[in-house]
Amino acid sequence: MASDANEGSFIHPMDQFVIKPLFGDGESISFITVTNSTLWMFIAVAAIAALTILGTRGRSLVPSRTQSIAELLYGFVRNMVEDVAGKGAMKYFPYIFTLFVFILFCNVLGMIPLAFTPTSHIAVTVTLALAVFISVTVIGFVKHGAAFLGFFWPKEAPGWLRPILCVIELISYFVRPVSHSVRLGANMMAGHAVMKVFAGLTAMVIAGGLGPVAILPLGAMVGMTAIEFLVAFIQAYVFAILTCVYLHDALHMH
Amino acid sequence: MDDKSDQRLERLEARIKAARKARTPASDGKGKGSYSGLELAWRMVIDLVSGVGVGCGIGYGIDALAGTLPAFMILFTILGFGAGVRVMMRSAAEYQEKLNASETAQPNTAPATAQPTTAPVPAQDNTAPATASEDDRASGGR
Repeated sequence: MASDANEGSFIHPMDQFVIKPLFGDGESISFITVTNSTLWMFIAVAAIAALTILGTRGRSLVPSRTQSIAELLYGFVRNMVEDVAGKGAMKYFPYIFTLFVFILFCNVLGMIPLAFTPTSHIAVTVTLALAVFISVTVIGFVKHGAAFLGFFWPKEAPGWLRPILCVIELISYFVRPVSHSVRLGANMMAGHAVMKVFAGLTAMVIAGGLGPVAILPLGAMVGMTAIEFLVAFIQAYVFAILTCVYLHDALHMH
Repeated sequence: MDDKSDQRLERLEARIKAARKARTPASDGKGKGSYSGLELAWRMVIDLVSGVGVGCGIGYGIDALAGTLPAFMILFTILGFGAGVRVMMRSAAEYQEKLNASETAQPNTAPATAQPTTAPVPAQDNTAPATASEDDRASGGR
């Protein structure tokens, strides 16, 4: 495909991630510019509001379909927080629920053709992960005071090893926000890019006059789409469950 | 009248519970296993790589401040690798724990179905696997 630059123009896997301002001259982006990323985040928030506020308006004992979806989501996250972070973490349940639902909706709405996936941008996921990191650290210090620093001091190790292990613990604590955000962002971006590559390949094969062969990349794309739906859900779940794990560490310092 | 409908609801819940129990193990067994293995592998790789990356970054920062360019960067890259391995081992241990927990909890699910109408208070503890606690919520949440 690299041999002829003219025909290779079918494959633009990264074009879908370009951030475009919706208003103004379409070029300059400042801190508060409304871009396609902003738009899709707003759409996600609107969809969540529609599901959780409008969907449960009936408050019926036997739930309607939308109400039962909202209840299912609520119960799912509630169980997760209770199981992973413990009963004491239920105070922070609203935050984790917000995170989970927001990421889930951004991911899933991004699967609509021509949609933009805000969570495919590392800037978005880093913001989310940093918010978790900072708030969890603050919770740790508020709960335990300076004793929270003991979290980094390995008591069971032999004496001379402790300073080294302490540095390692400290670094591994700072690894958390990095891996937390990279995991989500990279997963979303890679999946969407691969889908685009297969789509471009299909178009290329057809344009090259090998019509029936196009069934191969097309089939791969169907499979990828299914996997991507799975990934959209799993990544939101993983993000939320890791938040619970970090919260558990901060609350109980095990 | 009201009492009657309550009883009916309880019976319905018991039936829903039984139906759920009958269905979940099959879908739980194979569907999740293959993908969660992949997910775990992904997680470990990212942990390891970001450990090295963070260590390298911290080392470079110290070097830039102290003006001893390669020294701390090398040291902290190695330490970062150690941290990555540490995080990786921890998530492996977590996974192992979860596996063990689900294995030991598996036989307990059967007796749980025998007394499904202790509904109103979701008091049963969360040691049971996700399916059981989900049922508790379903029946307790009305």
